[in-house]
Amino acid sequence: MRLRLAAIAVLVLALCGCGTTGKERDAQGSVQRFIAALSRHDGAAACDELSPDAVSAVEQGEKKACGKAILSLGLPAAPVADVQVYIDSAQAKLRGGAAVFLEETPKGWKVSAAGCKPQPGMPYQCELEA
Amino acid sequence: MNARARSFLYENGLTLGFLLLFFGAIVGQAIAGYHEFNSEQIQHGSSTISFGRFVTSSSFGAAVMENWQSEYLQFTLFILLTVFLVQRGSPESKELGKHGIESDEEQRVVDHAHPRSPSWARRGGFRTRLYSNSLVLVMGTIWVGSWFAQAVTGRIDFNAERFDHHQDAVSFGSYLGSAHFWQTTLQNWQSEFLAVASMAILAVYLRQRGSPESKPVGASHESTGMEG
Repeated sequence: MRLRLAAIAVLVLALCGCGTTGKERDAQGSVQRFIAALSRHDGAAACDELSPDAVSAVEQGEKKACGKAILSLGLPAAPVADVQVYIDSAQAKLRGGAAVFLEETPKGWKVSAAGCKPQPGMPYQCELEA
Repeated sequence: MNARARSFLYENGLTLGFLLLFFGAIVGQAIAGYHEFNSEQIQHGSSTISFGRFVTSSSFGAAVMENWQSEYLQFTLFILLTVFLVQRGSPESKELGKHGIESDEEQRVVDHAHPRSPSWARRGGFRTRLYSNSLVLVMGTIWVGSWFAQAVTGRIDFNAERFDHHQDAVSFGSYLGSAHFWQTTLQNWQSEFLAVASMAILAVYLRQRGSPESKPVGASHESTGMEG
């Protein structure tokens, strides 16, 4: 009986892609710090949560330092509704439908795309992307 | 090496030889796959991973399982279909007219079992029925298991790529119906089925002296079910 329950548990974990709760917590933490920084208009703290390529994209796009540029993008700062992680990529869905995409770097989870709006049948359209 | 060990190696040479080849190939696949994975990571501006992390990743798992499942499907179908289908002239086929599960006497079961027949061949009832189909059952189970593992690991890999392209992840059910899953499945199946068909027909006309997979060199093209 115990063996059967263990086998079912393994099956469920495998199917749902669970067992990555530690990674999900870390990715969620990064998104929450990013959103909190945007909410209090702390551009520097928000940029700390961006991947290096995302920082470059912001600075090149706005022709300003990241800390100032990111606040002018008008990125949504809604609470996180759901986080999913697959290997070294993550998606955080915010309340209201927008999404944030993250990648795992040597310095932890970093935002690679933000202000992403769903497009039916197409990839998300993002205000900020690496 | 003592005589007993030498005897073991000789009597199990076919299995041991192919196991050695398997281990060599899978280590080689892991090394080549690890370098290819990290090369793609660098191209995408992502961090590289360690060898240990790669061989426990879904990427490596999916690549291994998609090949295992097709090989075990090939053998499952080959074992099963050769019960009912014949190929004139092929050593891979039973003789014409002998298709089907054959009689108890021909299969040496129950009342027709020999003293050295496996015990479940002698017992009768459910045990003999189960043992009579044990090869297909085990091969088929490994096929289903590795196909399931391919689906699980393939979906994880697929969804990681979808996030990289700013798309939503798909559920397990959706993945089973996806073009990605069926493309990776069928690309393997087509080669396996072609290989069996090739072997069945080529062995009618070609020979390999000394191999049980071939007819004797001097056997006629029409002789069926004869091993060299």
